[in-house]
Amino acid sequence: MLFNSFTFLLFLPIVFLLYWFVFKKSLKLQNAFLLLASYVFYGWWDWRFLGLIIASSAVDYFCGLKMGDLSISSNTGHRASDNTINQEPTTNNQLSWLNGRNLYLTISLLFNLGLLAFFKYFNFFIESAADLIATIGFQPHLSTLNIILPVGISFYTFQTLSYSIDVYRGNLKPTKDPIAFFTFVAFFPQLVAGPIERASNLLPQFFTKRKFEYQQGSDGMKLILWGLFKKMVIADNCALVVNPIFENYQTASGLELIMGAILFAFQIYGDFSGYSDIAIGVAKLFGFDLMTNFRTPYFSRDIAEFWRRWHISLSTWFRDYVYIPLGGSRVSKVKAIRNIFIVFLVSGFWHGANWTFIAWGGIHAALFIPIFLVGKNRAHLHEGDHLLPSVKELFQMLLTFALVCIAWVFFRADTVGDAWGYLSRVFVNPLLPKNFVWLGYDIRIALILFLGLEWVGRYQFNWLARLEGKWFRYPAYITTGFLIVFWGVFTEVKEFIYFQF
Amino acid sequence: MNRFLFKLFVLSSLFACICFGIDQLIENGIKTSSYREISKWNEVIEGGINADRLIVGSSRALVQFDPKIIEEKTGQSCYNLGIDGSTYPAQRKIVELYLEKNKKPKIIEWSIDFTTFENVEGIYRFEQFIPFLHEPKIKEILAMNQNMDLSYLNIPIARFDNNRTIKYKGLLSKTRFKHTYPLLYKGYRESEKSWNVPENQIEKLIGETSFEIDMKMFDDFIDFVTSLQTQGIEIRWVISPYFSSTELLFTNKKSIRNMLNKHADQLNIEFLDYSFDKISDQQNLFYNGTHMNKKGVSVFMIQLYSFENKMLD
Repeated sequence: MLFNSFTFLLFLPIVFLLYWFVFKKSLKLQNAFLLLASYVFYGWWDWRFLGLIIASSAVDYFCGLKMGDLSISSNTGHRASDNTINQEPTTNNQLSWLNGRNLYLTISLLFNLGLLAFFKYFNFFIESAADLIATIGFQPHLSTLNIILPVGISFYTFQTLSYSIDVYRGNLKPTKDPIAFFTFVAFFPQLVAGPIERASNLLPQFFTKRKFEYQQGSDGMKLILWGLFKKMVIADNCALVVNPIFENYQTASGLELIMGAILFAFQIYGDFSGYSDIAIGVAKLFGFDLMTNFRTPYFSRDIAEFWRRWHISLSTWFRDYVYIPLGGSRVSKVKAIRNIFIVFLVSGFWHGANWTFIAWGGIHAALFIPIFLVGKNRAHLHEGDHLLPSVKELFQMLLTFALVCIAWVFFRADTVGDAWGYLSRVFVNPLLPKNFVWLGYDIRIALILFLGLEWVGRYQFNWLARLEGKWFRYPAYITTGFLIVFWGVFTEVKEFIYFQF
Repeated sequence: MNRFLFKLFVLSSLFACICFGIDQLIENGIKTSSYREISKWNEVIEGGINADRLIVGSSRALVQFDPKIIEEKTGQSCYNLGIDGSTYPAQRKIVELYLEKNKKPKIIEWSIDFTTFENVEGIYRFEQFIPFLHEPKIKEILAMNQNMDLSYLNIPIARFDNNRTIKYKGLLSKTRFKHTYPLLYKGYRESEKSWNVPENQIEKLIGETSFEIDMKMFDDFIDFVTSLQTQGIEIRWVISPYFSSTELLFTNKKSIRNMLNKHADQLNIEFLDYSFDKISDQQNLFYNGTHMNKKGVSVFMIQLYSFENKMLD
């Protein structure tokens, strides 16, 4: 079910009303109902793949319990409580090979990564192996499988893995409530495209009595509204221009290609951050707070800042579960560079079974490492608090945005060769052709409006939620809604880009 | 919770009212505008056209069959039902709608193209049909859009989504900012455009083309034509001229002509093929490789209907 579909428009109010009016009295009933609703939400796409979510949840629930039991029985003495996160594993955790907890972590890792490997990467590995063998002169006959990629598999497997790892590390108590745990894994607002929640943030919310808060509900609605604007007005209109350019880049002019890359940057941002906004907003309607996933990343002044603002839930996941365990930056420079490369390449590969994503990750690593080496990767931890950026900041932002756009070409292209072809053609025939289909004037206005509002609201979680005065606020909500129906793309329903990951 | 639901209800109601109001403004604006073939759909749905001859087909029917000349030459009233960018399935629906609302014609002249029986995705410029959604046949035409989620056709304003500018056109149609399109005369759209592409560049522009005939669609066409004949309507098939350099690029035209010839003989239908006529050599009579301009149309009409008169003599 898509957030921008007619079905969801009916689904959401029904689930909302039943949740708060029928199941309000019992937390367990509310959780069970949310689980049911989540499975309906997911099953609407393809009910057969519900089995994978259930299996993934069951394995991690079981492994979590077992790790918890072993932790208590072996009396290793580490603190398995209060959901606090220790960044570094304790000495006792490192001894866990002795008490068998590692076995259950291994089961959890193998199962979840195995699911991913099979459903997402099997054909890629086979094809890549065949290509590799072909380069040394053999012609292998390796057959691929016709595998459907289950929607959201990369998101929910990573979410449930975070639980297993946190329990293993002793940062989190395993839960004994299967309904709460299964709902945590399948929670429909963020099931298929994140934010990838940490068990330590989301799971405890399933054990807390939820009371409808006006402010939380109101903030939720505003986020949904703004998320829909980003998706249906910005992203989908940009897609109408971007898709033909990328499909026919061989015949496009240089300016068209530059335009295509820039508009794709807006498309993917509108699409993905729009989804995240709607997800966070919907969760708020049910009394849950999800983590922020985007903080105006295109106003970043360098790549390091960009990665603190783009897909935050994924970048922090890799930081905590890959980068820090590898030693992070507290190792030799060579090892630190290796760690950065690993994290960026794995992060790219997480997006899809294609060399283009690996190249995208590699480019970001290559852009990040020089900043890291000169010790400036934490130079822009705080946003400036001024109304307009200085000339220097503006230059830094534009440069960062340009570099990000170049990397996006790899992300969007079908093959690395296509991406390379796309970029190399930028310098050929730079003039715009007569028949160039460019954004309509109205959508150009929408884009400028969008950028302006993003800039003004860059310190806040949602500019709509911060409007003061009812004579200003309510017209703003209605105008935003009106612009969605007037400028939005409806008839060609567009899936969210991140569904494919 | 009650405060939240109350505010949500009030804001949603206000929003819905604004959307419905603007939607109606757009719909009324478009219906009374000269946008695309809107005036034709208005006339067909209102009924009372009462034409003896009905021209059916795609844009090549729309711009190449002038009812004024036809009426002069034949002495019979005529109406052009051509739909820009259409293939047979949409053309059939429009004929059915016409027959539901208007007097049965004596003759239907079906302008056939090499593309008429090709399976194409979607309906070209389908937004012009949206103000007439209350007509089941129009709904059926819109349902042919394979990429389209029809549920959105029920959402005010968003239902005009396919072509956003139509919303502006609808809103501005009563103001001095309105966009004017050439008016249709009895469903016919004339074009005075010219075409100056050097002949040696045409192949580069168009390239060799082969048409894939959907035989299921063609069989349905034959059934439909037969049913029209049983209603006492005389049918005539016409392939109007293509510019010669363009026509030469169509690789399987012969097999299509043969197929049409065979069925025309079987059904006793007059089949006139002007696709490679002497008109085809004169570039000044065309505004692109497949469409004639006003000058070309008058030459073609005279030729076509003089031939008919000769046959009658």
